[in-house]
Amino acid sequence: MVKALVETTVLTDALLERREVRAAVKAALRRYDETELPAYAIKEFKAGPLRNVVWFYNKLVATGSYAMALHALQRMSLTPRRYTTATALEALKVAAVEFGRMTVGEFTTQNQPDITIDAALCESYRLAIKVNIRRAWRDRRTLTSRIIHELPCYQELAPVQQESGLFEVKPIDCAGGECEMARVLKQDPSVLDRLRAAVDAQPQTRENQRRSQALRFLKRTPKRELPTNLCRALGDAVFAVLCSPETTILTTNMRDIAPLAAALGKRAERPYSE
Amino acid sequence: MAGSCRARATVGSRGTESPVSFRIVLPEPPPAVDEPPEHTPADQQQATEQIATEDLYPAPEAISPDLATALRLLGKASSRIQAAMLLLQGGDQVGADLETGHLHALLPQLFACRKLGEGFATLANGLLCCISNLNGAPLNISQIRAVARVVELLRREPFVSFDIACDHIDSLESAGLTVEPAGYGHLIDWLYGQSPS
Repeated sequence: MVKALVETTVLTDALLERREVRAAVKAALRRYDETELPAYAIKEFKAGPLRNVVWFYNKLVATGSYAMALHALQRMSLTPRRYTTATALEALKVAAVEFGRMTVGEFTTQNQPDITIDAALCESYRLAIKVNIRRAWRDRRTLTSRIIHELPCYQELAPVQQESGLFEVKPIDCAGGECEMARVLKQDPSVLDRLRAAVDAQPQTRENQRRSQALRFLKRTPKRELPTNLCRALGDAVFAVLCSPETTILTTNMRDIAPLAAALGKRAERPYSE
Repeated sequence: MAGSCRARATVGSRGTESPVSFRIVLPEPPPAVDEPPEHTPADQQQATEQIATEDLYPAPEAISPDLATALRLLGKASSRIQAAMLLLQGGDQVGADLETGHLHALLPQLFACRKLGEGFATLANGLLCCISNLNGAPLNISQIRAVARVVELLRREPFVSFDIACDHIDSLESAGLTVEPAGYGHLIDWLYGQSPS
């Protein structure tokens, strides 16, 4: 039986990306007899990509302007995953120009004489994003054969739209009490050592430094509760641990996941080309 | 915002000049006035006879300007897409594409009526995006059918709920149509991105 464990990057592609990528993810998952999704991936998805999408949605609502929302995005410290910022910005401007080929006059009616192209574009993106937020949450637990390692410490609540029209996307952290992932990782201290060695051998990015700190905390103070920020920092290490030896981790983040999987004698692979 | 117009009703009109008055006959127990009627899938047979939207709102001056405009546009859109379907089924690709071109021209104004509700807005946006994203390529028969279902749904239920609208967006996608604005992929890639390490 060929089994796979889905990591957060693949989950995100399956839930938020454009139609062709979502279809490619589902086709890739069908190659396996059994697929698993740790509940931790849903937590990471909500705290990361989904929250960012909700942020942009709320910007569109608050500003009523596509240009302003895009300007706000440029001022955030987010880097596109596949493209450079300049490429992404150019593509978005080209798309806006294409939309703007429909003249303002085409959008006006007797009832709405004063619309601008910017406002129409803002609404178009807002509606599309709202559909995708709903679809992403609806489908999050339906992509794999089963969900593994549920998190009793975490409330998996849907994003909620307030009366203001803005979405609230909480909670993103655990409710408190013993961290389930900490409990699982602490079961074998030698695993913590191997993971930490693999993390420390990687480029010392802020993410890797935080991961190393979280693993050291678990090893040195096993009786202390893991703070919620360190739970988030565990990130990729969780998938390396949760994956059983006969299962392959599916990820588009091979740079970070592959060394961790290898440290524990496990496999990771990219399930589709981007 | 009014609820769905799919009510079982007896309509009495005092002529086109005066506002429509009607008495709603409801099955027991009657729902509360402000409670939206339960939605049933558009393609299911109805136990009670359904009143056409044009009959429920025969006097345009008696309804909101946005609804009147939307119904007028949807009537034209329905004619165009039905004509396109017949032409394509008869093998006339050029004729079908001419009709969908006229449909496309209606969609920005339909989008302008989006204040009717989030469900309406979602589907109007989906239609506008999916046909625009074809960049001039013709719709195939399954795409025409998917578009026709959405147009007919909006004609019957201009106050369709957002959740039901999302289901129909899925059906447009299943027909191979791209329902997001151009550039959406780049936007998502950016929002997916990481903060600098």
